[in-house]
Amino acid sequence: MSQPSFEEGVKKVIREYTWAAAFFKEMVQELGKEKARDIAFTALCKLRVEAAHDLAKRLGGTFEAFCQPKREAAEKSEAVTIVEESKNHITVRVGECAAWEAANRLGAPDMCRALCDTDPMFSQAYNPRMRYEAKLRKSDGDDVCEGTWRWEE
Amino acid sequence: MGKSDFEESLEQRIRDYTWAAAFFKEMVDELGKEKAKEITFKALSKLRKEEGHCLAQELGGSFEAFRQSRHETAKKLNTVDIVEESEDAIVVKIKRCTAWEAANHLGVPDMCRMFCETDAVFAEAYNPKMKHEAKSRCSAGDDVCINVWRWEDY
Repeated sequence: MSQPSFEEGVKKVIREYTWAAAFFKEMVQELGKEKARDIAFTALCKLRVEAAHDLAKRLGGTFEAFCQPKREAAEKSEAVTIVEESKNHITVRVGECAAWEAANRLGAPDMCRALCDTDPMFSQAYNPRMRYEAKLRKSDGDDVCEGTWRWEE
Repeated sequence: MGKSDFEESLEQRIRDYTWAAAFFKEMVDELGKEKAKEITFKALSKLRKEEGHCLAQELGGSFEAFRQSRHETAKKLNTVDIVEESEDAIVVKIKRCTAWEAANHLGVPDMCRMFCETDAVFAEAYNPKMKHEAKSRCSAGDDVCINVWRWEDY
C-alpha cells in the first residue's frame, strides 16, 4: 500500500482540528490570547499524557521501542531525518509538519504552539526516564522542527 | 466482520471531536459551564454558517438540491430515514446520531447540544428561505432526532 502524501495527511489533520481551531479562535476573541493558550495547553497536556500512556502500553515503554518508528519514518520519508543517535538519545529533524500546516491553514497557529509545548509532558508520560528538548520548531518560525529525546538511566 | 458505514462514520466523528471535546471540558473547568457553552455556541455558529454557504455553492442553493442531498444520505446510511416530504418540506429521522454518540463517548453531551442549536444557523446560511425545526433530539433525551427542513417563499 502506498504511503499517503503530505497533502493527504494535512487534509486528515485539518478535519480533526476544525472544531478545536474554531473553539480556540473564539476563546482568543472572548478571553484573550494568553488565557486561550493556557486552556488549550492544559487540555492538550491531558490528551497527550493519555496518548503517551497508551503508546507505552503498546510498545512496552522502552527507549528502543520508542525510537524504532522514528527510524522507520526516516527511511520512508525524505522529510524526516535522524540527525544523531546513541543508546540513550535520538535527535530527529522534521521538514514537513502536518500539525503546523493544518493549524496554520485553519488560522490557529498558536494552537499548534500549545501542542508543541506539550512534547516534554508526552515524553515523561511515556516513561519518566525520557526527556524531550526542542531545538527548532516550525511553530516558532524555524524552517524545520528538530528535537532530542534523551533516556536518563 | 467489517465495520458498518455507521461504525466507520462514528469513529471518524470521535476523531473529529477529540480535541474540541478536550477544549470544551477544559473551558467548563476553567470558566464554568455557561461561559463554555456560550463560547462553543459562537464558534459552532461560525463553522455552521460557513458550512451552509459552502453547501449552497456546491448544490446551487435550491431546496430541491438540498432535498436530494438528504435522500442520498438516507440511501447511504440505514440509520437515516425520510419520513415525510412535500414540495416545500422534508422531514428526516435520524435513528442513531453519530454527533450525539461521539460527544457522549467523549464525555461532552453539552457540546453536542450546542451543535444541535446551530441547525437553524446552517439552514439560514444555506438559503435565507430555508428554516429548520427540531421535532425531537437525541441530545434532548429523545430516542431519535427528527429534523424538519422547510422552504418559505415570500
